[in-house]
Amino acid sequence: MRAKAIVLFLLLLAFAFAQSVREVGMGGVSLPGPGSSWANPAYAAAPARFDRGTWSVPLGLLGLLLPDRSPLYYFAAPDAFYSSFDLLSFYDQIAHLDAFLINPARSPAEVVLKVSQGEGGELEFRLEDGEGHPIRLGAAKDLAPPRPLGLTPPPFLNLPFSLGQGFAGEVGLFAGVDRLSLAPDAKLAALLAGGSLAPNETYTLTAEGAASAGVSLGFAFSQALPPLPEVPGTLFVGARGEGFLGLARFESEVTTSFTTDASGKPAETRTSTRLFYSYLGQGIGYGVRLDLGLAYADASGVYGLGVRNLASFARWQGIERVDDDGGSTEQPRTETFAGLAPAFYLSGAGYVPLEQGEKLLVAADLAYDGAISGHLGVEYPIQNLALRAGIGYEAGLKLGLGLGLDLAALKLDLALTSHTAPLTGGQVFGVTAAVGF
Amino acid sequence: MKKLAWILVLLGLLAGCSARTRYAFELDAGSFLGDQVEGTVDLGVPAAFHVYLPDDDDDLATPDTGGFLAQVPGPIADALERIRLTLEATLENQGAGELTLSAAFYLAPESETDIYQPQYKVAEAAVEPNPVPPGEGARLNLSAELQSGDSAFATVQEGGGKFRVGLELAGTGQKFAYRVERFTLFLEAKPLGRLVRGD
Repeated sequence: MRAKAIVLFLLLLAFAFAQSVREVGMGGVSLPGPGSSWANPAYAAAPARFDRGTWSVPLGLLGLLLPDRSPLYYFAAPDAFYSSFDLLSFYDQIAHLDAFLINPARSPAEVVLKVSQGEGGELEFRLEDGEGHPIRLGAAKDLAPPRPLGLTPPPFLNLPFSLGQGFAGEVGLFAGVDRLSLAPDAKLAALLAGGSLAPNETYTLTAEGAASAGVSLGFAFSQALPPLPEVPGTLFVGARGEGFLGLARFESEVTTSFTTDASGKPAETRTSTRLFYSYLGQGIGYGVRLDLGLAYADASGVYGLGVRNLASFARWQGIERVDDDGGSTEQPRTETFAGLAPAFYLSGAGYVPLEQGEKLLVAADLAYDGAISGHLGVEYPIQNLALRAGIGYEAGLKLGLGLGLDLAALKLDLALTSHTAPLTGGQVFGVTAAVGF
Repeated sequence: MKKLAWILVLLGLLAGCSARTRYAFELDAGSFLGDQVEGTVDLGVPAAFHVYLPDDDDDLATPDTGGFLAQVPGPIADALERIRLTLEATLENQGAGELTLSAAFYLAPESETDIYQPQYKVAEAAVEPNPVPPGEGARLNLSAELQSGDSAFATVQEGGGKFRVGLELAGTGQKFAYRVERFTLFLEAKPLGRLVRGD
């Protein structure tokens, strides 16, 4: 039963993508309008000026057929799994499921821990890859920054329905990573960068991860305000109450540490693990939250500020298992969050007339949901073709290049994406596509 | 076993996790020689000699046979695939006559008090040139690679990563100076590969 739940959870994770290919091609910027109402409820009433009417093709699923990033080969072809599988590539692909990654992040082929004795008799350490380059564990801190418990990941599948008079509802499925981090404490980081062991010190390495999946149900109200004097455009306001039913949640925290004796030699090692897991049938999660939004549209563009999770309540019931040197304990646990943990989302887009008569689409956004992210993108039309480019920051630099094609019976969007490889650095490139009729 | 699994998970995370990732522990044994990394052996008259490095009391004339205790992480020892020992040294014959010299690696269990017994010898090589004429210098290059099936390889695994290692310089001569430029132990493992294969 537990294994089935984990497989189900992974499958849910496997569909976690949200942005349109047009937005991806513009560096990951979110375009204001009904398609972004999950981040700003006022956008539900705002004009849909930037809606392309295309549907993303989850090309990332093709990547998951390859042995270097598919854990399913463990069952189907163990030899291929053993020789090729790379968890970092798997994570990179599943975190960018909208794109087929051409060169996903790869683990180093070799990790070398070098130990020597200093002139004073102290032990010295250095962590390197096989080519002598230092491995910086600090780069793995906040691979996925912590998300407040009351704030569920953005839905990857959202079914909106209108209730009339500015009221609307939506049912969504969400799944995503809420936390992923590997962090040495300052003493261990300095040690592995070529430092030496000090007497009577404790060195600690902590790995944390959390992910959740579930169903969301939201009711929103959005409406244009009456015209205001001296204001040429239209103001929109929106509010949404959203509840969720949690299908699965997994949290882990692994801490390993060692302490040196008076002579500076490792004397005691401790490892402790804390797991919390909850899945339908064994536990459950539920919660509600309030989102508010404000938008403005005029001839120049559409702009808005959304505040998700202004107030929220969330509760997960599951099992907590703790293993340490004293043994292991497993008992029911309830995790509860109630309060304020707002996530801000500021965005805007508009058409800028060019001398030749064309209109350049310029869009930008800035968000904070535990970490800061931002994007800037442009689209330049040439007859029935659109060229797109953009740049963004999401815990690392990302670039986008895109192409839109409007034919008589077919719309096609293609984008070349780029993001910083987790842990190892460097740029990862991918291809994503969308079609419309 | 559960702790071992978690340590392996952490090791995997260190590299981003790959079954093909090799983990290596490189011990700079030369740095543990301290002042003995270079020295002069003066026998007074031409004679046979045996010098053991490291030497506990820094008196090379009174050999100490315990070597030094090395310890590698348990997961590395459990999933060991290869051990490579490397020695690079220079010598100068400062005696009146010729110097003949060979070096040998010894690797023995943690509990052994005399590691310089034939069953613990893993590799041996002579200086180049051999013999070394009076007043001349010479180089000593010695390397060995141990794999599954070698007794020294089993010694490391059975000791849970703890073992003793030492270096013997033996030959005939009157007086010579030596300098150890490189003395390393390189132990290589694929702990995640072993984990996923269930070996």
